[in-house]
Amino acid sequence: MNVIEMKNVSKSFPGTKAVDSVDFYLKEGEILSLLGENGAGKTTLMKILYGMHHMDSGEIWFKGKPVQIEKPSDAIDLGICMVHQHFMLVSAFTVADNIIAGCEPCNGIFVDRKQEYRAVEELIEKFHFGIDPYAKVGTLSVGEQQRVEILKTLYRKAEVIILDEPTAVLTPHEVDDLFAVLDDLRKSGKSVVIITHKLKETKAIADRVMVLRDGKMIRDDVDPRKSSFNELSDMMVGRHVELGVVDRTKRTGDVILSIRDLCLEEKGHVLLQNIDLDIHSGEILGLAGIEGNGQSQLLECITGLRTPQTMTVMIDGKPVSGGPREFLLSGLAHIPEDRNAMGLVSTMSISDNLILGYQDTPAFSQHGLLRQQRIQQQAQELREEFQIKAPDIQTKVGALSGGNAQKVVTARALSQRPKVLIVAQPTRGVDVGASEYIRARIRQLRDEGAAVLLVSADLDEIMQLSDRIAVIYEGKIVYETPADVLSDVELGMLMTGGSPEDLKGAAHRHA
Amino acid sequence: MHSWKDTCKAALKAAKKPALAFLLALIAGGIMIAISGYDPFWVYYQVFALAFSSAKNIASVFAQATPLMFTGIGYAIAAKCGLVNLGLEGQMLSGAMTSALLGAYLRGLPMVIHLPIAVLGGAVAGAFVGGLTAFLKNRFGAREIITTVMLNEIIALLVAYMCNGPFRAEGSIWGMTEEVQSTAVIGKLMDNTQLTYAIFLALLLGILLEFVLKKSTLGYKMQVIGQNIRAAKTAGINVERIFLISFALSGALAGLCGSAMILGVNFKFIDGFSDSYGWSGISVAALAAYDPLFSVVSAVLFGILKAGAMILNRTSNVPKEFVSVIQAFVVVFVAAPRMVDAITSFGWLKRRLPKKQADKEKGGIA
Repeated sequence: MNVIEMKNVSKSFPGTKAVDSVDFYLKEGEILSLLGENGAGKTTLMKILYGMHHMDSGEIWFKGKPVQIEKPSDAIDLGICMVHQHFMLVSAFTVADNIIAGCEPCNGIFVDRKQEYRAVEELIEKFHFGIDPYAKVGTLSVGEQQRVEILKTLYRKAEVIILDEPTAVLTPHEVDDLFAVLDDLRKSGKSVVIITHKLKETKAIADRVMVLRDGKMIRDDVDPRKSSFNELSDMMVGRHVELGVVDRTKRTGDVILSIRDLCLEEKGHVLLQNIDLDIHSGEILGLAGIEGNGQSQLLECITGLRTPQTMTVMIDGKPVSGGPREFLLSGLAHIPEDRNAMGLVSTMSISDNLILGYQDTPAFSQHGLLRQQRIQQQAQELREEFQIKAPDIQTKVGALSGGNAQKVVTARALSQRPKVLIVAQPTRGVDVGASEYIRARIRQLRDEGAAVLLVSADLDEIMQLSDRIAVIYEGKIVYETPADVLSDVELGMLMTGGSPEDLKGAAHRHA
Repeated sequence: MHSWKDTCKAALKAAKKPALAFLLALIAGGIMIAISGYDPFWVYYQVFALAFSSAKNIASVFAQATPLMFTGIGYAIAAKCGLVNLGLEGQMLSGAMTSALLGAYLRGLPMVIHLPIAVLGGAVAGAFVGGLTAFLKNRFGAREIITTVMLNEIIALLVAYMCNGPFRAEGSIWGMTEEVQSTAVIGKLMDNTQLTYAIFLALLLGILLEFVLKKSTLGYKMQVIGQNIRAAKTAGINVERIFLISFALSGALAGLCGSAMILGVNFKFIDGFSDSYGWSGISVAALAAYDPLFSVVSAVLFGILKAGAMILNRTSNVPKEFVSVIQAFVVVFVAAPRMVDAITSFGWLKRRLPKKQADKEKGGIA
């Protein structure tokens, strides 16, 4: 039985038709993967269902009856809940407080704490969530926070749960946990929609796939078990993209980036402990690790954003110290992990963003004045070279899609011909086509002799792109290995604190 | 070059919201006038008609606009890099006192030396107070919104003490300093008016700072900081240094406002002389979308209201304070764009609603 049907739904934004006459249906007790690139309209379609957007035309039917959904509370009343990409949690509150906020069990004017915790505990028990209801949300991992979000929907008696890019922020292990939870939900008769552009996960969990492209429904009945990655990708992108290109380095040279004895402490907590890393010319070193094991701090230290207790950094044999400016000028380019917060000024134009950090170099300024002609010319060239899709270089970066915004950051870093590239989450929230392109450009920079440090929460990306892999766990580098030696399971074990000895045991069992 | 045409286009687009805010402020002010028992249409008509009724009155418009230009530009330059300078009033007073003292007690200098020293002294004093705020922010993380307001109090009492105590003019019963030397007086543009050459200085600074903001690396850095401070830090921009420069510039502009009032209009520091020139700068800059050059224009707009209201006040009972009410409403409407959206979606404007809603939702296409 179809729990939801959306008929002939359209929605326009100024300048774009985000959703174009789409028919959508969701069966009871199924997990549907709504597949599409960024900007394909999948989030918009689901936000219409959730009452956050109003459709221009079309109908929504819930359990065989037409319904009007004007605002999210209408949807919640029907049992339709959405977990957003960015969690909406109060980190200073406990898990239980977060879950009940908005519909608290009351005892007069007071919140009935006993009932609150009992209800939440029951829920956690029932769906095997394994979270402490008394823990403060701020102390939880991203994966656990996501489960709190899902608990929120269950507490509101959701029958349809929409998850927007649920795995974007998760580690492989957390993804597995999430899928176990989703499987439980499916078994208890809930319907789940996951909005995603990731093929691997679609194949792993979905019962059915709907593909959206440019606001149109391309297919609504794809069986993920019978389709290959490339078939799904081609449907999603609309042309053929070579997936997962592996191209290891052919030639490595001297050590270009050398980090010695990096120790960072904060408020008595050791965040990074005796980190030593060497990256050679022509080499990509991938730093694998579960998010929150010190990667962000490591990135901050080796780009000058934070001064650790001890650290010696040598770039091309010369010691570097000071702030981001000093690191930048010594030939280190940085593609930050959060492009919108750290890498771009969304209210400024593409050309202005392409000089950010390099505005004082002679190429872009003279006597304290910007050399606009050069800046514009360079921006024009980079836009063509990197195929940044925008009407012109005066377009505000905030108007670009994730992939194109990331191309701006990448173009800026690569245009400076850096000796060292520090790149974090290069393809987070970036569509398939742009992802492969950005990876190819990083490889190209490596082949030109740069040393590249890649930090990514996406283990597949680390395994695809790296020539050598280092594993970070609780602020320590616990393992280093050439690429293609360890499997993802083995790496995952190291990432969660397993020792190399365990590894041998595992290898033994495999054999 | 990519040029003035685009700049104008962008400016027009940017001017739409402030213009709407000003219109709404006029309407709100009109309601106030009506409540006070006057016909708002008549009052507005009179204000605008009187402001342009004679050369002298036009001069009065620009004379009223001059101090607002300085503080408006001052507020704008700080706002561009995300700073809220609520200390313009104090910075203005410290500039005024410094200019008054330099003007009165430096003797025997020719005008070409004395006047620049007196004017610059005011700018430096304002820059010092502004810089102090930036220092407190950089060094101790003190929020400028708090420190500027506190410094306003400190400076207001300090200058009141100075002109009532050690620097009170001989034989004066009211707190005021000695009159400045004739060599430190800013010349009048028209006799029997308060319009002085200071207006050219204001205009020049407006153009200069606009240029700095749009064309220089300093201006670029200020805008990056104002729009995304984390990105600025990641890109290695020395945020603290730019804060200092920006706050000092803002304070210097406010200080110059004080200088212009003392050396051009009052010729001495009189206790309580300020007609909230510093605070008015906020309205002026807000109406100009925090753009230095537009602040000059917006100051003239307020100058018309102020001068017109003053002239009207001479021949009728309409209180000239309604201009302050309008000023305040401008800030309210500029600071609360959603309120403007809500108000304009009433009634005859309602047919615009669907489009507006779509604009708002645009953020969520992703």
